[in-house]
Amino acid sequence: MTEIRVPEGQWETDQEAALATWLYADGEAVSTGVTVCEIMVEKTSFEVPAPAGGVLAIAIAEDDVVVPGQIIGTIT
Amino acid sequence: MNACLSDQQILINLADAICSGHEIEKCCGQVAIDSDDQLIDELVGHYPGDSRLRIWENQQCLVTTKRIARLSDFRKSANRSAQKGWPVYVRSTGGTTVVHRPGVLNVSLAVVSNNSEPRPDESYAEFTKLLVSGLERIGIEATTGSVSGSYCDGRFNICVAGRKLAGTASRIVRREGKAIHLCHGSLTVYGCPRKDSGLVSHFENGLGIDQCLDPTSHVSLIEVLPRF
Repeated sequence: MTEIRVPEGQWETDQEAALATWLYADGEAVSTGVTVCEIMVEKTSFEVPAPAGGVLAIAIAEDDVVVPGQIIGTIT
Repeated sequence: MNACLSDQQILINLADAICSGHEIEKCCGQVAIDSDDQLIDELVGHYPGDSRLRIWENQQCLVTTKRIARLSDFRKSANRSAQKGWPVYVRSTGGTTVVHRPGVLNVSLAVVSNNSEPRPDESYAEFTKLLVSGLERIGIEATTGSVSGSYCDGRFNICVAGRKLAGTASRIVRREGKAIHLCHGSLTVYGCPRKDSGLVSHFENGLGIDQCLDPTSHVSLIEVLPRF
């Protein structure tokens, strides 16, 4: 199992970030490197790539607040 | 000297002050917005620091975000807006709903980052400097900052005398191992920013978004341009 984490070091921890959109559904197959979701901070949209290929399990819902390093899903 | 200039000529002068010799694209709807993705595609395989710029003017429409487009009443509210002559399109950058129309000058800048993990602040800094310098060339002293009560508010608005002249938003993507950041700004050159604020407020209220917008928090370039 590979964890999908919110990128670290790209914004200040006091800036609020939210998981904007999952581009794949829970249980859907993804390939390494494809963009699985977008995170929004400071009116900036960040793409989060799949760290591995496999089946996506979503842990954090869209619009939920996230922090750098947080696990937002897994791939098995 | 500006008294003789038409509103459209002022818009052309601003575009020229931001990037000399760059033609203003006349665009239409979703295609106009999606063309920003082409800037990113054109930079794939390029070196850090390489960039692409678009200066464009869209037909009248509202442009919102993917997050807002997911709301349950989006289709209904968008149809209602379209019936009033303001179709709604969806963009990939962040923020909330904004107004595009003749008189609003759009500037999009895509840059291959020197940093493998670029920060939003760094992306915005270069972009807002471009806009502020352009305004300075036509005699306008502008700053960056948030403006309470403005629609699509953010820390990297372009402000004149404490009112919002332009909003900015950005997107950071990774292509072939390099980060590319795309910044977009909409500068209100002429037309009525108070009416724009009302349009956004009406559309977003229809989606159940509770907000308190102050129409006087926005300003157009025409309103602040020195005239002799």
